[in-house]
Parts: sequence; C-alpha cells; structure tokens
Amino acid sequence: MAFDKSLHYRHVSAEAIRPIEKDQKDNCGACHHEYDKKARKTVYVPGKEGACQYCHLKTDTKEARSVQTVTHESCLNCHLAIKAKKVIKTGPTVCEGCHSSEFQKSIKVIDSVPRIQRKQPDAVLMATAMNQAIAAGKEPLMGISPVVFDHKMHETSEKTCQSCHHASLEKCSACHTTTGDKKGDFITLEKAMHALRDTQSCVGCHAQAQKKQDCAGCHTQMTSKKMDQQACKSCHSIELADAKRFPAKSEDQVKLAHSAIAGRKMPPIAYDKKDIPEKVAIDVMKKDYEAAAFPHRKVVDTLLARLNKDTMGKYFHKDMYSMCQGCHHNSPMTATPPKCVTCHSIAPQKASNGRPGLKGAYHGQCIGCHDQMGIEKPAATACIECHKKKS
Amino acid sequence: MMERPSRISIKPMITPINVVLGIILAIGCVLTVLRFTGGLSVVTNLDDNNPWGIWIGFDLLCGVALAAGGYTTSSACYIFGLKRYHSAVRPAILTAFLGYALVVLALHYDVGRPWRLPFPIFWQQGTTSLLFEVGLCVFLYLTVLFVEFTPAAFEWLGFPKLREKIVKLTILLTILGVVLSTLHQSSLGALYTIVPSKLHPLWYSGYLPVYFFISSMFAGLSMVLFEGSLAHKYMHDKMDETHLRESEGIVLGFGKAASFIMAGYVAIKVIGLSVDNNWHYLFTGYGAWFLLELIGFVALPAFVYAIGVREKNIRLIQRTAVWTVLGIILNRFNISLIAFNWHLPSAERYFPGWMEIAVSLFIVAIGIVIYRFVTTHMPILYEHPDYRSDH
Amino acid sequence: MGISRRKFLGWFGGLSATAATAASTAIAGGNHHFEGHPDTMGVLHDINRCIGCRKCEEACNTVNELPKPEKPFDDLSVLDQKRRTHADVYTVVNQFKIGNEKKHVHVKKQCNHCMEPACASACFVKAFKKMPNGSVVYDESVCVGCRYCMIACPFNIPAYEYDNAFSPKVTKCTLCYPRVQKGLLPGCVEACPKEALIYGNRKELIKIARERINKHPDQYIDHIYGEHEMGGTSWLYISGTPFSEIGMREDLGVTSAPELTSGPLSAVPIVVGLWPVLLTGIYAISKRKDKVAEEEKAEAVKAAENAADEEMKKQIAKIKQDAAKDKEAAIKREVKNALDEAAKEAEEKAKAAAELTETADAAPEKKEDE
Repeated sequence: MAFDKSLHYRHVSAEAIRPIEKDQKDNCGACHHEYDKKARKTVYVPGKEGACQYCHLKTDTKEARSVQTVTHESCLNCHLAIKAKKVIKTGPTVCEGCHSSEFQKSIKVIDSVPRIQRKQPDAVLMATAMNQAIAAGKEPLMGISPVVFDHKMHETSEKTCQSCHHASLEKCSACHTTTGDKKGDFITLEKAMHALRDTQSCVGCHAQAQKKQDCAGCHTQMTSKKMDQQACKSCHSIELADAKRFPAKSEDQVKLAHSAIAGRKMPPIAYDKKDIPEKVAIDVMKKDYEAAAFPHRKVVDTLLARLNKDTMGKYFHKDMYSMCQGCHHNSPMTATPPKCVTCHSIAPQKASNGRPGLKGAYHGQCIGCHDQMGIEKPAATACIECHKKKS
Repeated sequence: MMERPSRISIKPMITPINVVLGIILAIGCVLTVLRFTGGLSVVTNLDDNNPWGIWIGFDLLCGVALAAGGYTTSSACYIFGLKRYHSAVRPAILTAFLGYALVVLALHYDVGRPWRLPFPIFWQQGTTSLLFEVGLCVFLYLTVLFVEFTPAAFEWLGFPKLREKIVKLTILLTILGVVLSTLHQSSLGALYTIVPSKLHPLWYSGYLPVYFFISSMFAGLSMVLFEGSLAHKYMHDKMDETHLRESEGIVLGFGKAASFIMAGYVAIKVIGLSVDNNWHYLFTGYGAWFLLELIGFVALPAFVYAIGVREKNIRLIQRTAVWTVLGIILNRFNISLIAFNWHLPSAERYFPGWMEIAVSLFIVAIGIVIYRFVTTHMPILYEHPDYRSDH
Repeated sequence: MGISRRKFLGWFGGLSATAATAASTAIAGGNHHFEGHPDTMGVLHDINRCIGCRKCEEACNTVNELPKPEKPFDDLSVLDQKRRTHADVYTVVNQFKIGNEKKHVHVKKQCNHCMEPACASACFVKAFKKMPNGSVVYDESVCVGCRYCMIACPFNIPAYEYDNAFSPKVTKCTLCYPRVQKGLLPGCVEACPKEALIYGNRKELIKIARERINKHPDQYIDHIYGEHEMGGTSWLYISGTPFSEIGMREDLGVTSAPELTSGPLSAVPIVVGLWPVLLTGIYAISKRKDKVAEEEKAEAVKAAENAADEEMKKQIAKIKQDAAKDKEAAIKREVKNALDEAAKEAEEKAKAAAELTETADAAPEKKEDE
C-alpha cells in the first residue's frame, strides 16, 4: 500500500487527530516525531518531519523498530481508538484495508492537494560541482551546463516525496557527493541523477514514464541505454556564454532558475502537413499480397495528439521532428529521413548482425507499436486488414 | 533312443487349462493379423508421448529379468561347483531359452519394422546406444542359450556325438552367458539413464544398471523356484528320482541366496536414494508407492525367504518366490510405465489397451505350450538313462 | 553426434566381428574434446516477437509436403488447445495466458536440433545424424521402429506413424536440411512476418540474443534457452516470460544425453574384461577343490577297504583255526566216546566249517555283524 499525498492530506486535515498539546496548530505532531535519547521519549520537532521509513527501516535497528512494527502499532492503534470514539469514520482496522488492492480502490482520493509546506524550494539550479569550486575559492569550470529543476512541478506530478527523497528530505548532494561518500553508499551524484535502473534517479524515473501507454509504442522498441549529446541538452539546458557569468550567490542562482522555468513555453507540438505524406504504399510482400496503403499522416496525427496530452512528452520532444524518430530511428531529425529499405534489406534475412529484414522491420514496428499503445484493431494476425490477398 | 514309456502320460486333451490356452492362442492369432496389417495404432494405446507400453514394460523388461534363472543356475552349478543344483540347470536353461525367444518374438510385435531387427547387429551399429548393447547381448545370449539347450534335444533326437561336443563347451558357454547377462540385464536399466527428465527421481538413478542386474539375480532365482513348484504340481510324473531328491536342497539353497541378494539390493537402493538426496520425495504419493515396492515387495519377501530357509518351510519359500516375482514385475512396470512420464498430466498418460494385454498373454501362452511340449518329450526334468553317468 | 564419445564397444571385437568398425572409431575417439561443428547453424526464436499467426506452421506443412490439416492454418482457434508435434505436424505454435494479463504469449515448438542429440545417441542403428550444419536428420531406410529415440528425447519431439503397418517412420523437423542445402532459409523462418525466427550461425545467434537481452533488460529474462540445455541446442529461445510458464522445461539440466549414458557404457569393457577371467578363476578353484575332495575321498575309501580286508583275513584265519580246533577236540571226544560213526560225524563237521569259510569270503561284513 502507498501512503500518498492524498492520504497524507486527509490525515493533515482530519479534526479527529488534532494533538492535545495546545501549542501545536496542525496535525503534524500526531504522527511525526523525533526520538529524544536523553528523555527516552519521542518528541515532535516542527520542521524536521520526514517519512516514517527514513528512520524505521525494513528491519529493526538499534535506533528504531521496523516500519512494519510501527505502522501496525501506530496506524492501527490510532484507527482503533478513533473507531472506539464512534465520532467519525476512521481508517482501515483490518488487514485487507491496507493490504488488498481491491479495498484500496474504495479509498477516497483527493486530486488537488494543497502543497505540503516543509520549506522546500520551488526551483533549484543544480550546479554542485561549480558551487564546490566557488566554495573552494576557485574559478568555476563550465564543464556541462547546470540543470534547472522545477521542484514545485515535480511535487504535483509525484505521489509522495519519497519518489525522489528515498532516505531523507535533504538535497541529493548531501549524501550523493560528486566523488561518492559512505553516507550515499558511495553512489556519486552523477550516478544518483542518471541511474537508468533506479526509479529514484531523474533518468530512471523518466524512463519509467516512457512505459506509459501513450509513450510505449515508440519507446519500448528503442534501446533504453543509448544517451547522446542531444539527450543531455534536454536537461542540462542553462546556456551560459562562459563560466564567469555563473552567479556565485545562491539567491542569484535561484533567480536564474526561476527565470529559466518561466521561459519554458510548451505549446502543442505540430508539424507542417507538407512534410507528412498522407499515405505510403508498401509492397514488400507483393508476391502474395497487394501493396499496403500505410496511413502515414493519420499515424503521425494520432501520435502527436497523444504526445500533446503530456507535459513531459512535450518538453522532451520540443525539437522539430524528434517524434519522427520513433519510427525513423537512427535517422537525424529531419523531414526527409532515409527510406526503411536503405538499411533493411528486402532479401530474406540471414542473420549476420541481428538487423531485421524489411518485412521484419515493418511488422516489428507496426505490430509492436499497436500492441504497446493498446490499438486492438487490426489484430496482429489479421493479415488481410492491412494488405489484401492477391487474387 | 529308447524312451521310458511311463514319461509320456496319456492325459485328456480337454482340460480347463488347455481350453484357456486355446482361447488365448486363438485371440492372439487374430490380433497378430490386426497388428501386422493395421499398424500399432489398431491394437495399442501407444502415442507420441508414450512410445513404449507393456510390450516393452512386461514382455521385454520383465521377460528378460525373469529369464535370468538360466545364468544364475548354470553359473552356480558349473562355475561355483555347486553340483547338488545340477538337476535344476536344465529346466532353468529351458525356461531362459524360451523366455528370451519369446522376448524376441514380442519385440517383433512392438517394433515398427520387425524384419529389420537384424539391422543394428549386421548392417549399421549404433554403438553409442544402450539399446544396441541390449540388442547385441540378447542376440548373442539367445544363441548361447540355444547351444546350451541342444544337449537335451540331441538326447531326445539321438545324436550322442554332437551332444558330446556341446557338453564339452559347457564352461565356456556358462561364462559367456554370465558376461552377456551382466551386460544386457544392466543395460536394460541403463536404457533409462538417458531420461532423468522423464523418470521420477525416486526411480531414476545413476545406479539403474546396477539395480537391474542385481534384481535380475533374485528374479532369476525366484523364477526357478516358482517354475519348480509349478512343475512339481503339473509335471510331477516327468521327474526322476534325482530331480525329486535334489529339489528340496535347491529350494532351500536358492531361497537363501535370494534372501541375501535382496537384502543387498535394498541396501544399494538406500545408498542410491542418499546419493541423490531424494528423501523428501518419500513423503509424496510416489514416495509411498516407492516404499511399497521396496519394502513390500523386496525387503519383506527377503525376510520371509530367510524365515522359510531357517524353518525349512518349502511351501513358504515357494510362495515367497511368487511374491518376489510380482515385486520384479512391479519394479519394471514402475520404471517403464508408472514413474515414467510422471510429469505429464494424467490425460496424456498411457494405459494399456485390452488388445495389448491379450498379445502379452498370447506370448506367455506360447511359452507354456512349448514348455509343456519340451518337458514332455525331452529329458529336462529327468536324466536320460543313456547319459546318466556324466555331468 | 557423439564423435566425442564413440568409445566403448571396441571390446566386443572378440564377441562379434561386426564390432570391428566400432573399435576403429574408439581409437579415433581418444581423449580429444569435441565442441561441436564450427559452422553449426541454428534458429533464434524471440518469443516476445511471436504473434501466433501460424504462418510458420503453414510453411512447414507446405515445404515438407505434409497432409493439410482439418482446420486451415488461418483458423487461430486451434491455439486454444496445447498441442505437440505429430507424425504429420513437425511444428506447432502454442498459446499461453500469463497470470491476469490480457496478452497471450506464443511459443513455437519443433525439434531443437541438439548439439549432442539424445535421439542420435539412443538410436541403435544410427538412423539419426547431427550434420555439420546443425540439422539432426533421420534416415528412414535403416529405422527399425523401436521408438527409443522418442523415449530419449527430452523435448518430446519425435513422432511416429502408429497407423502405418508396413513402413512406419519416425518424423520430426529437419531444420529444412534439403532447403538449406539449396541455399534457402528454413520454411518457417522465411515465412515468419515478425522475424521472431532468425536463422544463422549458432554462435552469432547467441551474440544477437545477448545483445537483445542487454538492450532491453526489462523486456527479457536473462537466459538464452538452448544455449546450455541438454548440452546446448541449435534452436535458441529468448523470452520475457519465464520459460517454465510457457511449456518449456527448465529442469532439464545441462548434461547432454550421450554424457548421461556414458557411465553405463563405460562399464562394458570392465564386464567383458573382468568377468571371464574372474569366473574362470572361480571355476578353476572350485574344480580344484572338487578334485582334492575326490582324491581324499578315494584315499579314505581305499584305506577303509584295506582295513576291512585285513580284518577279514584275520577272522577267516581264526574261524579256520577254531574249526580245526573243534575238529581235533571232537575227534578226540568222538574217539573217546564212539568208534566209526563218531569218526564220520567229525568229518561232516569239518565240511560245515569249510562252508562257513566260503560264506565269510563272499560277505565279510555279514560275518562281522555276526
């Protein structure tokens, strides 16, 4: 089960769990606490709230009991106590309440949750290496452009803070230093940002997003490993003429970040109709079938429509014709990509390097994309719906 | 040659046994026609998943194991010098010869193109196959048994000089018989070493050839005892004084030998179980079945044999012989049919059709008829008066 | 197959002249290791790509000139049932539903053309052969129809013409050996619209398979089925679904069939070499034992006879003496008591004594008893 923003807000706003202590003006202290070793008790420290799992790990430690123990104890006891009062409806008090996906569906979800206030930034200019140089009194080097991170926007798109802040609410570089540190399990900052297999890293999380049905048609067939210069620039986007222009003061850096975010305009992506052929006749299998009339423009329009639904999609496909690369892979972004047959031989394939023949390439892309994007008709096995049988 | 007139009994032809035999033979003839004109599918339940049925499981595996009396008895008498078993040798050789001949006959029904049975021996030798080893050894051993049997025929026909020559070969033939029996008895088990993925782990073992060889020894001994008891019942008038006088000693001696060998067999079975660490399978349904076979049909009869020998209880030993023979049949059935293909769903498993069973009975019936003919006409259960002195 | 391991039956040379050929290859086998033919071709079946259109089945049926099935190949309802190869069906596509997912997984099944085929190792008439190009081919002209190949095949592939009475064959995929010889692709590979099947050098195919797994680690299980199964097969499979869930056994192990049987086969020379020597030795010992026993018995009998003889002589002598004494005494008595008659009686008595001696000669034991 996931304790997401919606559930969090419902607990924040619930009158029934307002702490007795008069000095607390909100619900935070009812759950969030720190352990005071001297007093041997838990105390609420405003401004130090974090997720339970930051201290209560999967198993018992010297410092804290396991998250399983404490959630079963604290959550359940509180629910039972409130249930006993019979004032209002309370949270689950049976196993299925939290541990069955069926039951979870019946839990009310609040869509527009007010932003959680934990003194977090709205925008961050990620330039750790340069800041380190400045701190050491050196001239910062313009190795790669800094990244502007829209923290506020990501707060709305993510379900919990833990999506990124997996071990604490501190900034990433606090543990993941540029050279690696024990605190960060020797995972360098570069790795922490770019690890493809890790959903907590930027790249890892964005790669997960490519699995959404609207994106999967193209992205499933692409190699997930390949990163080129073009891809770097998508995020490392602060263009500075030279390193001397880099603002040393952090307020200036924040200003720079805000202005960069303000400058992000993402109008719906649209291509010139002239560049998009209406239909393409494909006659690879002319021996057995009539040529297939591939509705090229219809496919492009559908893809664009689906793409424009998604902010991230629009942000990462803002380069002209970048979406075309979904099918016209390995081609530069252009309105006139090379024909498929240029690389995919029409002759029956004899695997030498694993590159598909033309027939395999077409079927692979068409059927693969339809399959991933949930387009059920025509069925993959309904040959004659795309190419009529030769009489 | 003169025959003692008393040996040829004048019995009525129509007895219950004869009637049953006659019916089986008649049905068998019809099925033979069906088999060789319609193919295997007409008379068997064999299919692509279950290519071997009871014609292999019973006729071949049990047939060969139960015909092992030939080599055990003759080696006991001639090689180990236990002359007091001499009167058991001829019946044992006869049944072994008949047994092997019938095995070969049964194979003609089972293989697709029986007229090619000599191919692997004379045309193209598949030397990597254990079935080749079986085929070659059975072929050679059948020849050996035939030669070993000829003295009896020559006495009947009256060719003393030829008989003389063959008798001189006795030791050579006996040693050859033991070598060939060791090889093919064990390799019948080894046939299944190629299918660890199909045979239940409780029955599959690297020791399969050893199991088969050792079990063939007590199978042979028990079969000699069993046949002996049958012969005493139905062929008593054909036996001479020597045969009758020695028979008690033979029963006790063979019972004791079988008891020892069976105890050893149980021991190596347990070793095999430990080597493959298959103990946990004992607690499954197959485990219970395995224990029934090992304890109920080997360990217990071994114990009862020992009791029978100690108390000189001939009847008990003879009954235990039947018990042991059933145990051997159970073991061979388990390996070839019941524990084979154990992973397949029951719908895809094999169960013999009545016509297959009828053909197997037909072949046994042929054996009984020939045995009766030979023991009636040739000096098997008695010594020919003209050749009394020499052995 | 099995060039690696044609070792054993040379020992049969003495038993059977036919084994002479085996003996020569046994020497050639020696200690060298055979890693398979370098040009072994194969097929990579990318299960993720298969859509279950049955075009491969259709092509297989056509190129092998097999009888047309009842339901046409574009009838996909056939997929609802799990199928296996049969006498006139060399390949089948099976459909699997995985968990609660809507999608189906399709898997093609046919002979895997093992690197060291179980069927070839099991055949006692060498009807199966692993060709240098990877195909495992079958020679109908020598097949006896014992069906041990079907028992041996871990993938349950070879099928049999059970309803053919006069020339039943074992049938299975040939990896389109005749077509490949002509430079064509196997029928199924050529027909596959998705290139879920690709034909090529086995080593290359393994590289391609690895590359696909590396490129899309989230789409494939990190395992190439057939790379090592049963010692490796010419057909290779990659899949996003665990193989055991789509009808492919993962418990077959990596030991090839010939290796499984090499143990029992290597026992042959031991038995053939050891048994005769051992048994002859035992025979010699038991015979010698018998002989010694017989000699001792004979001696004992002789000694007993001799002893009996002497005893007898003594007794006879004694009897004679006694008789003589009796005679003398009688004569004396008779002389004293009577005259002529008494003398006659004495003579008769002597006669009786002589008779007694004769009987004693014939049956001394009886006398002894007396």
